[in-house]
Amino acid sequence: MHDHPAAATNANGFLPGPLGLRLDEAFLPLMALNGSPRNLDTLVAFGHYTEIKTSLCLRFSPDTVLISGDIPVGNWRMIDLSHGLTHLRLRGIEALHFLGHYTSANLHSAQLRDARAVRCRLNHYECAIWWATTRDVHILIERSLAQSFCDHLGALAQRHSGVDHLHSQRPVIPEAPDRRG
Amino acid sequence: MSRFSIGGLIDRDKTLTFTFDGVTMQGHPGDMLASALLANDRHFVARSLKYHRPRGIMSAGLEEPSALVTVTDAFGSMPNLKVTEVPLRDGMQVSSQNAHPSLERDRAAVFGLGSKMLSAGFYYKTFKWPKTGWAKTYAPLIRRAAGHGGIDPEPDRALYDKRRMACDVLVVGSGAAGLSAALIAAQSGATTVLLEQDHALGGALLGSMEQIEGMSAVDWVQDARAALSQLSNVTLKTRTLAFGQYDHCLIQAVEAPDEMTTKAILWKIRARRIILASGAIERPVVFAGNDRPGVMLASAVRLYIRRFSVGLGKCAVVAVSDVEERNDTVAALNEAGTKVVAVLDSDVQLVKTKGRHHLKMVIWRDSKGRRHRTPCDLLAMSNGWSPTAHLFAHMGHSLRFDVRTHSLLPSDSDGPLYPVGGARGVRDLVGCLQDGKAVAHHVMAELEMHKHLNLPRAMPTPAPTKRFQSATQTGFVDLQNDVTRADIAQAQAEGYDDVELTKRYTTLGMGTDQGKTSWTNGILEIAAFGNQTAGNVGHTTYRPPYSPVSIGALVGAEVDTEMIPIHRTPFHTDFARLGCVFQTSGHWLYSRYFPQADETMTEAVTRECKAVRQSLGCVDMSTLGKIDVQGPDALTFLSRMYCNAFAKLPIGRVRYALMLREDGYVFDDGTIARLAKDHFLITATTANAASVWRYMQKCAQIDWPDLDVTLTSVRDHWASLAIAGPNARDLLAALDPDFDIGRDAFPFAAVRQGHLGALPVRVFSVSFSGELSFEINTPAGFATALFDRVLDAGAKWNIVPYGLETLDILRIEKGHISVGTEIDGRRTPHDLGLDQLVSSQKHYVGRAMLERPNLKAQGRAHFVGLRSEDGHSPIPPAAHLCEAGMDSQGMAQTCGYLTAAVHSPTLDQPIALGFLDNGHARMGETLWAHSPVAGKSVRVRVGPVCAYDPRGDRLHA
Repeated sequence: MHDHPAAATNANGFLPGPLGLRLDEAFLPLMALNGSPRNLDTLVAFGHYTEIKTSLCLRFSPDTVLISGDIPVGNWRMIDLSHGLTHLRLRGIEALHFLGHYTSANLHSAQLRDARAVRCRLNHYECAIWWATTRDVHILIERSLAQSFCDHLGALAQRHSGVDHLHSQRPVIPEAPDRRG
Repeated sequence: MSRFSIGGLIDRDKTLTFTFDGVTMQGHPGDMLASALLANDRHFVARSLKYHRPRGIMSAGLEEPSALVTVTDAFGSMPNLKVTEVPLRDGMQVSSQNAHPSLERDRAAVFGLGSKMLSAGFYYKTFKWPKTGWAKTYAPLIRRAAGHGGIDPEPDRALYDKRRMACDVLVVGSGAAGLSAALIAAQSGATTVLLEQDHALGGALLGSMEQIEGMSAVDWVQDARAALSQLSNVTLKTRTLAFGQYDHCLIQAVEAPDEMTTKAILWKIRARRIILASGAIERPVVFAGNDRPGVMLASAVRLYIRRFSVGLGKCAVVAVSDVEERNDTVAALNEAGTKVVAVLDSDVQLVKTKGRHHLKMVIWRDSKGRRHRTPCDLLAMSNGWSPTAHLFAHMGHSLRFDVRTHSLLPSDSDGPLYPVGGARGVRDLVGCLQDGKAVAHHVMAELEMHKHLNLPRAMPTPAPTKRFQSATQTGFVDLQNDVTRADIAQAQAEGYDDVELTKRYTTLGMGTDQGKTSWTNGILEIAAFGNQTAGNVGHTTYRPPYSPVSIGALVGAEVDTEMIPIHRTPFHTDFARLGCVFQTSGHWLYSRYFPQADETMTEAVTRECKAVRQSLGCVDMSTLGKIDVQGPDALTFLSRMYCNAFAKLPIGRVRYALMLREDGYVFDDGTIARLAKDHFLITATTANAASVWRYMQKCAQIDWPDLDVTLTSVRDHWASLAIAGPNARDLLAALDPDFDIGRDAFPFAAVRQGHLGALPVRVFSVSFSGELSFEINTPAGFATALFDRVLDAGAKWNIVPYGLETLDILRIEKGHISVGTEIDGRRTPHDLGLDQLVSSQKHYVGRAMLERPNLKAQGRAHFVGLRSEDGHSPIPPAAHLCEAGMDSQGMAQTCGYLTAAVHSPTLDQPIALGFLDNGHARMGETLWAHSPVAGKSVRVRVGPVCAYDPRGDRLHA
């Protein structure tokens, strides 16, 4: 029982619409490490995420790091948030671009292309997202809102056309040469 | 058919079929509805708003004032669409509006005969008496006679969406200036978005025969499009109308995608710089009969002939003030094979037109005053141009009347929005290209993406020195609202001489076109009749949207269940399985009650209440705010936040806590549990959870940064299920706890951490129901496991789940306060009877203001309990408390009011809670509870708030 918490959502497959986006929920053991900004800077910079061996570090607050995996040695105040935040994965060629249509942050800005992580609002929902590739985006959202959020993504996905990409600029991979002056 | 066999930018290989007023017609991809109608020889498509005069298609763009229709497709119907803005689609059903029984035989056309009587202000002067007739008679009468199309009463079945985009440079408009600016910006590496409201790029170039860089204008547009399309930093959006500029470089635009997956997409585009290349709008000539079908703007004539390959008539009169445009119009008509019967110089005076449903004759006077009658079926007219600078003016920038261009011009801009080309009065092609390039270079330099080149900008093109003069009072200035020169003259004569007053008195510039073709003419007429210069007239306020946007697009996907985010508790699916009836409480979807078989809500709630009082019930408490507080200064921090004393709270114990606002009024209540020496868990009410969290964050980060304390919201981490009732401790024992739950080891107001079987839990012995109760918290992912075990083990005591309705009755019986009803932002602890909680030994938020004399004054409203005097008469909810019965007029002096009133299943009598002036000193008094809404008055007796188990014996069982 301990190892198998119940899912918060029914996200387990493809979203409706022609974009071919797949949304899945995956349990992510997550601890909140509270500490001074200076100490936390040694783990991960503010607004960034890192993956070190088996650990994932996310930092969307100056005095808190969300960490999954091995806890680094240190005098931290820790709180378990594994069940409070639902981890969703949105996969597909259009994954990041699709979310970018609805986030208050510009996911294609140079700053975010570098950080590849941001906490922002997606329409009315506050969430944190990070990505290693634009085709596989991770989302953290409050558990109580998670089902509503998944339903919302489904409603948005079916409003898209299969030829959207012909009309909009595409995400530029971080390694692409900067053509701006 | 008036379609030519060759030429134009339409796809003749495909045919689209549509209907207009039931008549089947055909068009081609590339057609607008207007061009398709004209190609089918349909000029007369509408009736005017007020006089129901026949109206045709005057223009070829969004400025169209007259040709409004209702379009029906698979999603339903949409009224008031301009035929010039609707791309033709197969199967489209188009119908005329504002005409009964038909467009040709409109009965209300008789209003046109009394146009002198129906002048400006007619309604205000006529429909004055009797007053009762305003709403019941006159308004429906006027609305039936006037107005445009009707709204489809069926729900809109179409999908809409709202999306965001960001870019370095946003170019609005794709004419010569827009395309040249976009090319420069894009090739300099800026992320560039180009918006065009038409379905084809090019703007006025699509009707131009000029050469650019050695190729035709149309070919140059295609070349530019190809160049832009291959750049990954460019987004081209056709059929996308930029309709408003807002703060911080935000442009909102609405897109009507080609594919009908989504009918409209509202784009919020945040740009670093905006280049407004929206062109200009041609001005009609004001004279009698200038609204007749067959009278068209000259630029529209050229565009329909050259872009859509449509012939507009057999013989035409050309009345264009600009010589080059006049010649170009004549050339276009010659290309179309239309006989040009008269080319009028601007020193002639257009007198009037004739024709019933279509133009048949133009009557004009030459410079010597001789009257001429020229039979024709087309009049191409133009009296100059007005820059389309609406988006520039949306941010409060004024336009100034420029005597050289004879139009309202935007002032020189220092960004972030730069009007270019026609939008700032540049009319010639070379000037527009140059202006677009110069501004784009300037913008790139501002963004530090390009060096400063300081290219010279083109100057606005002077208007012709000779223009057609307005003639006769019956000439229409505003075609959409049937505003004539006489109306404007009347407004000036009656003192409505300010431009804002003139607009409202005459309706000049109102409606769906917002005066696009009428404002400049209107200003000139106001100036003429008011004996002032046009520069002194000014203009009314420009506001978004530039052109109408459907409500569906503004709403987007946020309809029905998508309107707001819905919070669900971890027990939601378990409750749904049991047939729970849910209700929204704040943003939560909360369990309301659990009906069995055919139970009504009252029967279900009564059963649930009795089960809790007599045996066992369980309720979801997961919605409460939960904040984890850690650190050496955690106790100090909480001591400042809450007004009661708990410095000596032992580890493992819980205390009720009251939080005040800075002004001394009660803000929230909850509990504080001490988990370790420097580790606390506080709860907040569901309604105030977010507010309390924000307030505590603000205090920790800003007010007391010296305190070493960390806060973490853990509300969603924990699922919380309260088991309540006399058998609650027995059930807890049956759940196999690994800690001592005996009465002495686990008393009331305590917390224990451990396991129930394999389930990790925190259990709090606290109660909102007044019964022995334990709130079992487990990580949310194990909520179902906990619930199943509680139901299984509780079956022995016939456990029932209960919801918000029962919870409310139980707390009213117990006299517990609730946010929103008793904690209403105006109550002190003393008002609520909680002053014994307030510490006098420490400092806390709200203490200073709590000392205010007014908050300590005698006679304040106090929280009291009430029962009906006869023990059985229902107490009406929200009743007013009065000492006397109501007088003959239904009035009585109020001394308080009810906050809650229910029938107590436990006590089997009506009980209530409320606030009563000086209530603490009035125990035992009998009052009236009047409810004018329910039409009931009941005698009630004042008593203590707690109606059930006042000593609290049951809590400690």
